[in-house]
Amino acid sequence: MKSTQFKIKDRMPKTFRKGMPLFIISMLAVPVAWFIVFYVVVNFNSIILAFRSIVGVSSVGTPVYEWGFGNFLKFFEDFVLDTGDVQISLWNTLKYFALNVLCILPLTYFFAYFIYKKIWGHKFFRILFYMPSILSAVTMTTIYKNILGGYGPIDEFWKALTGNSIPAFFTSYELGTPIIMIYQVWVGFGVNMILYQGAMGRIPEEVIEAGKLDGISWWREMFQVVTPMIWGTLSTTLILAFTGLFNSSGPILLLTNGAFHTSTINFFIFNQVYRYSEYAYPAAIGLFFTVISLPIVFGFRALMNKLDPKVEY
Amino acid sequence: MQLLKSNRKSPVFYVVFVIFALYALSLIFPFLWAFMTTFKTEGEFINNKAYFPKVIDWTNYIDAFRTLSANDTNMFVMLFNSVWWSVGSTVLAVCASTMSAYVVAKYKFPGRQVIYGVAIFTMMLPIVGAMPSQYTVYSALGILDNPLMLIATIGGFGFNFFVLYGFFKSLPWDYVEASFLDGGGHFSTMVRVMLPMAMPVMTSLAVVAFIGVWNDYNTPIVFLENYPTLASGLYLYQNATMQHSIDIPLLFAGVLMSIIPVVALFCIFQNSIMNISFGGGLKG
Repeated sequence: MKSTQFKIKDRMPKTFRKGMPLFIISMLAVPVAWFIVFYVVVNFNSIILAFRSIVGVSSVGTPVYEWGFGNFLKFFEDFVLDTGDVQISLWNTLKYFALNVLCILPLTYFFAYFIYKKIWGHKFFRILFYMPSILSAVTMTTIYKNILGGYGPIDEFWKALTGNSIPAFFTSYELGTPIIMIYQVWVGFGVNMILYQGAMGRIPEEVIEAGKLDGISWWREMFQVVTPMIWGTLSTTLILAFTGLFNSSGPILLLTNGAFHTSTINFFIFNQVYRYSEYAYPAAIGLFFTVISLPIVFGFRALMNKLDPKVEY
Repeated sequence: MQLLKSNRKSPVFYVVFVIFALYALSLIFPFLWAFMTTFKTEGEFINNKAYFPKVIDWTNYIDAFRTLSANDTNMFVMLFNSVWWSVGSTVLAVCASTMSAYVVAKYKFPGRQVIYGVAIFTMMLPIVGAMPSQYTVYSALGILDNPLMLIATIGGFGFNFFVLYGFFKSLPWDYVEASFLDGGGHFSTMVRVMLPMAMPVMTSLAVVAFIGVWNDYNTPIVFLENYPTLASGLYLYQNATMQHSIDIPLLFAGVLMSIIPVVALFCIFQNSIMNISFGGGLKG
């Protein structure tokens, strides 16, 4: 392919070099300014918020701040003493993360493989299984809640069958988080499935044919032929899952509003801002988990690169 | 019936087919049930949750616009808010990414590598809980609960940037050279020569972005309190109304109508939406 990189010296007529800096600056001005204000300043401000607590009001009405680890200490205290929903939020977050990595991603891979193998109806399944990722969560959860909730159609059927009501899933301490986790699985295949299938579609036909001639079974084909061939895509989705570790959550707000021990870190921070108008305390929690996840994310990236079978085709 | 085109003998395919069919049913059935419910009156629904309605009556679809409201905003206004908010932020986001991606991919200038590197690095950073800071910064900027919130959605170095960067990188420079020789400047070359070629990619990115913003309830709930969109408004309505006094058939008519634009876009752009899905993945 021809060089696609513009070289000033040999390819640009002299008259146009003049206007170039102005053009580049005008094209980049808005995105760069946005980045500085809405990324750099926002994240820098997070750090300021986290290390600052209001201790009073001055005589002219402005708040008086004290710098230190106060917000972090409050968080550790709340965690150790198990006040608020701090502890439960962390456990739930880890549950959603484990669900994603150990259940949803493997199932997605499994689904993608069989659609790639053109199972009967694969075109229809491919589109249908993708739908939950483009339909609004508000619509999906509204229907989900009403179908499984008390006095819904499932409840009616169950009553007709057994004479008993189904458990109140959305108002139960034991079942609240599990029912949201089931929702996550229910709607969770879409994007990654398309991603895996796209990668599988790029595997050269000969490779699959060779396996077939050797008479290998479907699971050997899946694990020993397809997996190494699409490793790049697989590791990307795993890395993204690890990057989102402490943001793992479900639509808590829509299904239970955080009640019945269903809170997660993500929801907890949201709720502090939305319901309690607290900014410093949740900023400290966010910063704490950001710092904790840095070595995990970068360590995991390094591990994935090491495991790379480096198949080239 | 020929169930499979390959691995015909493996019984696993039959088992998986059954699993797929059951999962498919679990996705279709709730929507059929919800659709069927919208034809019932509230009273009819209380006595008959699971079975067919007596008559097909579309009144709930009209009443939803009047009755469903959040923060004194009815569904008409929610629809209007959804439209300007989604269209506005989609246009801004795609334009910003196109400008930055075009220049970074096609021009050599000092700092180019830095921009690319920073864009990659920020995508890898696992930032937790930016919302408290966002709220205070937006408040200081005076864009909270204001249509100016649109500027917070501009971006320019995220996912769209990488897709467009890859696209522009693969376009030969010859086109531009020809345009220069014809007397075109930098800007007119970009607009007249390069952007028409990028249109399919930009359209797919725009559709994906639009769907994302249309469905997003978090941002409008927190940052656009008095401008509820369909997503945030239909949640706020449910939250403000006691569960037992919600007119479920009416609510279902509302939530089903709210997905029509997305479903329509998906039908039109189905292939490009599903193919744009992260073509090369994240390299870095």
